[in-house]
Amino acid sequence: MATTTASMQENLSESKGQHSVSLGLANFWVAMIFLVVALILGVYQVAERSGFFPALESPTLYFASVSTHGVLMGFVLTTFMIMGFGYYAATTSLKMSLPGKGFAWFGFWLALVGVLIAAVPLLTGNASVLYTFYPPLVAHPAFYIGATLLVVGSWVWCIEMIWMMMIWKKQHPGEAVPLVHFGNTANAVMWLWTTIGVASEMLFQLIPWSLGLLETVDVGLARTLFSWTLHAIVYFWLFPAYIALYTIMPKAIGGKLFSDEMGRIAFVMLLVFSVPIGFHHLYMDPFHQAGWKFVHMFGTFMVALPTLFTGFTVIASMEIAGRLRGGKGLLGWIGALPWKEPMMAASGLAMIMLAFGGFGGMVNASYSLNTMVHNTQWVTGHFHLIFGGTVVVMYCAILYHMFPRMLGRQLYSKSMAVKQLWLWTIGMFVLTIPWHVIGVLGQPRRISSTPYDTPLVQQWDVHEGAMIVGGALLLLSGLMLVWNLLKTHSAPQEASAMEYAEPIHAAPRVPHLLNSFAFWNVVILIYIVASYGYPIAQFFLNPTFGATPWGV
Amino acid sequence: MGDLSPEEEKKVLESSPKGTMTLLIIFAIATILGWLYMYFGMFLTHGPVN
Repeated sequence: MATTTASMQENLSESKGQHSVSLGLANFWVAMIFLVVALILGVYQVAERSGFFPALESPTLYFASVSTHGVLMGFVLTTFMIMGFGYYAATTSLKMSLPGKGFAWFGFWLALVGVLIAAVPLLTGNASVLYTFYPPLVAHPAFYIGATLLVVGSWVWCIEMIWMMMIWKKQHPGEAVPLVHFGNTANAVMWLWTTIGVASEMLFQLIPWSLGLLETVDVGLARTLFSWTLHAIVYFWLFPAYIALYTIMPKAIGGKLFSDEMGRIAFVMLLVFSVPIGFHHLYMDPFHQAGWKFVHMFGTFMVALPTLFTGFTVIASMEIAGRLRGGKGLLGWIGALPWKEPMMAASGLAMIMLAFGGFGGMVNASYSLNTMVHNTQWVTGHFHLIFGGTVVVMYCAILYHMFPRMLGRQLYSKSMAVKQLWLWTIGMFVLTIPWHVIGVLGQPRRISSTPYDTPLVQQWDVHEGAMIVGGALLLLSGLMLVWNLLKTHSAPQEASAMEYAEPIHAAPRVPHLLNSFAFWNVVILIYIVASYGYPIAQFFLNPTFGATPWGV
Repeated sequence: MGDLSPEEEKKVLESSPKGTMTLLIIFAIATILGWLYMYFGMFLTHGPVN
């Protein structure tokens, strides 16, 4: 009897994800602290670049700030959010404890130490390489070593996700892995495949080159290897947002998931299609032939499919919830949705930003149109709308949903959360619409000022002013997020379990290919060899010229 | 929250997501028109690279 009671308590504990609460919270707080730092830097950057404040103008400080902002947003906030989300979602969905918890903590500390090591050259202006790994721009070796440790820390998370799936499947033979963990594992597998590119560039090129062990570096090879990682990283960021849209949102708004299988298909498609599409970042590079670029354009467009699948399934799930709440007519269900729920507000706003950002992405992916927007502020506006918009607004919703459950407390203020999400979205549009416009008007990206007294540059002023307002709104919104979550630590206690959406048609068993990644790994390997094999091999088959370091 | 009978709830769960299809068709048309505008209205009007 005593054993049974202990076992029940253990099960209850596991269902609430107690085994991963401290680890999840640690990851989430690291992410949020660096989010605020990055937001402050972002406001400084739009103000400096506008030219309205001569006292602020300093190219040296600006490029150090841009590099730090990009690293914190693109690599640090995301990696820690993804790890925190993955650990808590895994233990609560699989209802099992975290295997190798010490190993998971090791990954967390390794990643954090990596960030701190990289922060030193970043903040001292010795790694102003614009958060990229594009030689001949070179940073202090500590930047590359720190970034590598961050990635290795994230590999620990990947191993944990795959490990948990294997254990669960062994304990539940033939059963469908819960969609939330299937998605997290797909992300882990994708991340392991896609970081091979940048890891190779780091280990064999940038680190030895920055240490002076190599005299020159093959810029074309480096850019090609970086492109392998460069765009799939966006899907690494996006996966938790999609997973939350499929598995948390429908339940949170009182509905059901339209289709579990559609979610699995979308996750598998994201996994397979996302790895080679970074090649479209090389459209304007002289190292590759036009034929390869044209072929890769089709590969890039393929990734629109899982996004469309997701759009359909998620909106259909919203429609079901709206109709269950009494919504009538073709679109009357939209008004019946619980827009005062943070998860609902965030999901709706995320889909709107995804629609606009997705359109911009199609322009970038088009080989011809890319020539018009390449290296302009259009690109910066685009990735801010997708990442800062869709991804971060869903990260906020995840935090609002998970934090109270992790702490066993009420969310400090639900209404503040909804206001924060709207403010974030408005701020993001006020920031990014002008960004797109000045890009099309011809302003290049990666500039610290526009000291040209011409009619063209004067046209940019109104947009520069709007972007400062947008940046300030985003900073205010970010502070509201952190304040709300900080106060949640001392909010009244309230125990609620972490529950995930049920599909309309629950299927205890799903096709093997939608419940395993073995076959898809073979497909990815073949796809990568076919798409990147020759483009990489040519640097070893043909004579190339090395570049000496430029910059620090 | 709507107060639906079990029959009404079953009907909702088995219904086709017509509103979703409508929204996606609107999005698809807007995206295609936007892309055509970018190509014919902006890209081609730039003229050849000199």
